[in-house]
Order: sequence, then C-alpha cells, then structure tokens
Amino acid sequence: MRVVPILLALAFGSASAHTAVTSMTPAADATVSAPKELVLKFNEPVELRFSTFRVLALKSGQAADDGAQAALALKADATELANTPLIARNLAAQLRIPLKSNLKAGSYVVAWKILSEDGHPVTGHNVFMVK
Amino acid sequence: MTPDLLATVWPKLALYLGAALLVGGVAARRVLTPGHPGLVWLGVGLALLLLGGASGVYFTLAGLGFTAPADLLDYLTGTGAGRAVLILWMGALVLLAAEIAELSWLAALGASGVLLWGLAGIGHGASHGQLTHVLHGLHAGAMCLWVGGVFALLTRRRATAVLARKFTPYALGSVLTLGISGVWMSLEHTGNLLLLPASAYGRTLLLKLAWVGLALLAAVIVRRAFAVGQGVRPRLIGEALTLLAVLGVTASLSGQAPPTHSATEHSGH
Repeated sequence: MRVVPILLALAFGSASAHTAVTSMTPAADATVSAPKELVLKFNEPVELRFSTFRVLALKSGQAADDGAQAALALKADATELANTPLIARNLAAQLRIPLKSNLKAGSYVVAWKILSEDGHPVTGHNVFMVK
Repeated sequence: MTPDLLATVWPKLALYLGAALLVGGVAARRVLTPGHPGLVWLGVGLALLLLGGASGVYFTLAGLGFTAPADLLDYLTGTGAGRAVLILWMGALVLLAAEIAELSWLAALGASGVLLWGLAGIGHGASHGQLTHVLHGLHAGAMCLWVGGVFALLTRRRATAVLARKFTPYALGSVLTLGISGVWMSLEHTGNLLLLPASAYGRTLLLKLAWVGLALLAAVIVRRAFAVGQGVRPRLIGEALTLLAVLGVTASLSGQAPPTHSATEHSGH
C-alpha cells in the first residue's frame, strides 16, 4: 500500500500550455528595420475576444520575462506600448498586430495571454530587435 | 493545495464527481438499486457541477484578466468552452428534474447525453473534431456508470451478492467502453502510444492507467468478497477510493498539454 501515496503525489503535476505561437514575423530574436506590423501564427485557433497582445520596448538590461510581465500589465491604449490598440473578437489561427510608426532602435518584447479553442489560458513571449 | 493546483484540478474534479453522482446515481436508481442513492445525493451532484463549472470559468477569466460581467456573458455565449458549461448545466438540471418527476428512462437518457456532451466540450474533447468529442462523452458516461454503481452499493445498507451480480454486466460494459475510447483518445492526443513516457502528459496518462489497473484489481477483490460473503464494505471503500484517485489524475491530465498541442517555437510559458 506504500505505492498509493506516491501515485497520488505524482498525479498532480503542474499544468502546462496547449496553444503555442508557431511563427512570428519578424522572426523571434531577429534584427530588422522598424516593422509596421507583427504577424503571429498559432498551432490552433485562438479566442481573440479573450486574448491580450502587447509589444513593449525593453529597457537597458531588462530581462524579457520582466518586460513581458510589465507589458501585459499595461492597458491596451498605454502610451508606452509599441503596438496600437487591437480590436479583434473572432476565433483565429493568425493575427496581425499593427505597430506604431518609426520604432526606435532596441529590443522589443511581444507578450501574449491567449485563450485556446479548448478553453485553456496560455501566456508567452518572444523578442525581436530593431536596428 | 497551491493556487495553480486549485485553478487547474479542482474545477475538473468537482465536475467529474458531480457527473458521477448525478448520472451514475440516476443510472443506479433505475437499473441497480431502485430509489437509491437518495435524491439528496443527486442534488449534491448538481451542486458540484454548478460549482465546478463556475469556478472553472472564474479561474480561466481571472487568469486572462477579463472579469467584468460583460466578459462573463461573452465567454459563456461566445466561446466553445463557455457554451459547453451552459450545456452541461442545462443537461444536469433537466436530468435531476426528470428523476424527481419520475419521467421515462428515455428522458433521463437524453438529459444524461446533453450533460455528458457539455462535459466532453470542456477541455481536450473540444479541439479534435466531433468523433473525439463523442468519445470523450462516452468515456465520461462509462466512468459515471462505474463510479455511480460502486457508490450505490457502498451506501446501501445491505449490499448483497445478488446486487453485485446484477451490477457486473454494467461494470464490465463500462470498463470495455473506457478501454476502447481511452485507447482511441490517447492515440488522438499523443500520436504514438510508445512515446507516452517522453511527455508530462504521457507520464500522467500512464499514471492514470496504473490507477485504473488498481481499480480493476479492487473490483475483482470486491466481487470475490461478495461471493464468499465476507468483509465486503472495506473492500468496496477501497474500490471507491481507487476510483476517486482515477478521477483526480484525470482532472490533472485535462489541464496538461497533450504532445499533439505542444509548442514549436520560442513560446515561453
């Protein structure tokens, strides 16, 4: 019977993600001229009505994780954001995020909190650089 | 229980327990132990379904930062997962009403089907097409029959060998349905059964299979105890606890990413 508590303990592993960003344009970690928009593609449809996307310039020495947290804490129309407010309410496997014009050189974090088709919330982020 | 565990496991566990009490309880009252379990247990099942559905919706929306009343209404009516919760609740209410009003078995069967269809739409069953959705519903229904039957035998004052023999074909049918639908769903969600140990989802699935194996062993021990007429109740408690562990692991499994849903590029989580 000693095996029972072990099996019970093993049963409750932590939850993980279901939906993922399969590609981003500009590509993750790429250095590009100031883009006008970002394109995200997902491995399955995403409920955009309940999803949040933010693009924010990383401060010097700021970790991407911290930048992503800070970006997601901002309101959709915050002046600090590098993207313009996004209004999308449908179910989609691809999303275009318009960016403000003439982004300054530096690193930018693209952060998301999305609702997958099967109802699971997922968070994540990528980084790209503007030259 | 940590907040993450509370948010991912509790709502599903409440839903599974609620469905087992309500659907399994109604089935037991109609085919195994007439009038037992009492309506109060079916009410507890309904309460768990309401609580599990509501807490699942709350934790999902709170995690996404959408907690206004309009968000809740949009979620329940505008997303597949939200509509599944509404369907589940409607099926549960009609099933309890059908049982209280002593409607025909056809009404109970239809309401159970609606409830199970909603339950199957919350989680992995929602994202692999209609056939997988149906299989998730059948899987849940079979589990409800097994758990409901064991619960009815356990809570009945005098559970006899005759009752146990009456339950056996239903239990075997449930196990057969669980096995076939389980293998099919595993192939759908993992792609290759040989690769199960390579992912957290696969390892949890193997753990669930281990618990199911223990539950089957416990069921055999219970049947033997009935045959010789000794020590039935402690063994029935053992079978019920093992089934409870199966439901717990299943609740954990439904919050994890199957390998067929995994990330392919730079998705920090």
